Amino acid sequence: MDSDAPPPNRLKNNKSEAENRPVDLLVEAFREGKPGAFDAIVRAHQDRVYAFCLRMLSDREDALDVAQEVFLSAYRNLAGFRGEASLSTWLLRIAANRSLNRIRQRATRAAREVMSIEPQGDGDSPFQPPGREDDHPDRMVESRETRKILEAAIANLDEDSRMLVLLSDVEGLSYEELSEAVGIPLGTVKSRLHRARMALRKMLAPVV
Amino acid sequence: MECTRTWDLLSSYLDGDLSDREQEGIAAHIRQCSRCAEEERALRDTLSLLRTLPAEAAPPELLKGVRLRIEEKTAVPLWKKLFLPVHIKIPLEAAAVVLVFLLVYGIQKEMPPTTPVPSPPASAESGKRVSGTETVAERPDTDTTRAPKAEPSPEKERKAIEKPSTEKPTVHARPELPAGLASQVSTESGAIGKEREAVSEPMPERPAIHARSELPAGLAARVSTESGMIEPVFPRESPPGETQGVRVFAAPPRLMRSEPFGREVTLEVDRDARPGVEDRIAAVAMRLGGAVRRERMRIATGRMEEAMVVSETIRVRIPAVFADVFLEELEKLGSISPEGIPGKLDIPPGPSPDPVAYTVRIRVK
Repeated sequence: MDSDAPPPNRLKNNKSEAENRPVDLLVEAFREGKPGAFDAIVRAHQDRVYAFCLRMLSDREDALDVAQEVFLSAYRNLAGFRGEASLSTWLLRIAANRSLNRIRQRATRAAREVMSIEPQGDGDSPFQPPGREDDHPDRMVESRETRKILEAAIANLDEDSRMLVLLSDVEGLSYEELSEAVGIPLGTVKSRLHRARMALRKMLAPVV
Repeated sequence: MECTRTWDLLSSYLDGDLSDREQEGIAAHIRQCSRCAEEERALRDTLSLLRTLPAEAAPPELLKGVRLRIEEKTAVPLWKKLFLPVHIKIPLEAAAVVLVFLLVYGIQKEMPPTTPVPSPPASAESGKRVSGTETVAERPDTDTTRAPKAEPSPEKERKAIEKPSTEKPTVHARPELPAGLASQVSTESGAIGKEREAVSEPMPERPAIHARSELPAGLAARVSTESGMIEPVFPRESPPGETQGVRVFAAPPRLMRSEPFGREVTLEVDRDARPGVEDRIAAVAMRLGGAVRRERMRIATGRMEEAMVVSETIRVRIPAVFADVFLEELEKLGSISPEGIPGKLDIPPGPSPDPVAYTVRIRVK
């Protein structure tokens, strides 16, 4: 892979800003009381919010419930949404907090729907997923099996690391947005995100 | 740059979050160190893998569930829905007001009388004719509790003065009349219909009954009834044992009790003596230890040049023992028409602390 490739975060931010433009119109429409505006907002963001919740919670039922809570909270508070962050960032922040709360509430829950692979050894040992070692990541992720491996590795991160990785590297939030979303200082965000990435990289070492 | 330092900064390096110098330093180290280069590649691939994760399609239940939850949270209770629309709320409130009014009215009407009410004689209710004339048989409870329906209007009064009635007067048999209704005469025109307090005591003597034709023309204005008869009755409480043979009417409910103004006395004075006669009447009443209230009232004449005539009514309240003296003093000021005299007739015998009240109307001859 070319080490001179542009940093991924810049690409993510450009994509995020482009996505937010029509959403602002929807927010305005909702504030003006136009019928169907909130439904449109839900449709525009439900996949992203639901996917985030599912990867955070590893349970479809919980993910559906938390995603609905997220949009219900948005419905109540959208009038006070100042637009300092994009609507998607705002929704993901709500989703992150709700997901962490749900994880803490179900601390004793053992079964996870998505996760089927138990980590081997201690946390520092590399994750050993099935598959050939020479498989390229771009091709791997296209397969359903690889996707399961990746999601299982994400699910094996602790919830704080998982949240940071998902918000940053899946959802494309910047450091600043991440800091605001999780409520920790910017420097702490960077260091924690780095540790989370390295942990994930170790788990995926055989395939990357 | 050392490998450890490079590893610590790899995330920021891949995110492009370092200074140009740090970016170049790490890039140079990676070119030289195969281990760090491998680590950088692995981390870059991991992040690329994360970014290529497909979006998870939300199930359709999500939107439905959100709608349902919003409806539940913002649902208005049924009783509120009934009262919220204005087109329902206002009529309901209006109906409630009417209902409350009717309820209060009904309760008030059903209040038990303060004095026992014997059943009225059959003759009084049957309204039969006595000596070829029509008797009045109206239910006392309705008459004493309702607003007077036969208050003479100024217009009627004026017509009566100008055109005395020549119709045959109606004679009322006193025993068949409810005492409380005696003063109302209750004719078709109902001109006098003056409301009184409950009267329970019969007259010691049969009061003078004046046929309309016997009255002066001026008095017809006040009578202005087709029956042409005046039978004044005075508000007094009935002593125990005196109710036999007469009808006793319960006092009207508290809220409907009207202020007793006493019997009316019409004092006719000459035009020259008219000025200041009110003061003289008041002086007489005060001298007799009474109280005086003067009321000015306006009566329409119907003539343009005299659109309104201001007259004054004197209401006096004096001890009953001085009633005769007061009437005598009034006669010195003018003449009292026969309808004003009955005040003498039912003054209780002997000294009495009971006050009597008179409403003195002044008329210029």
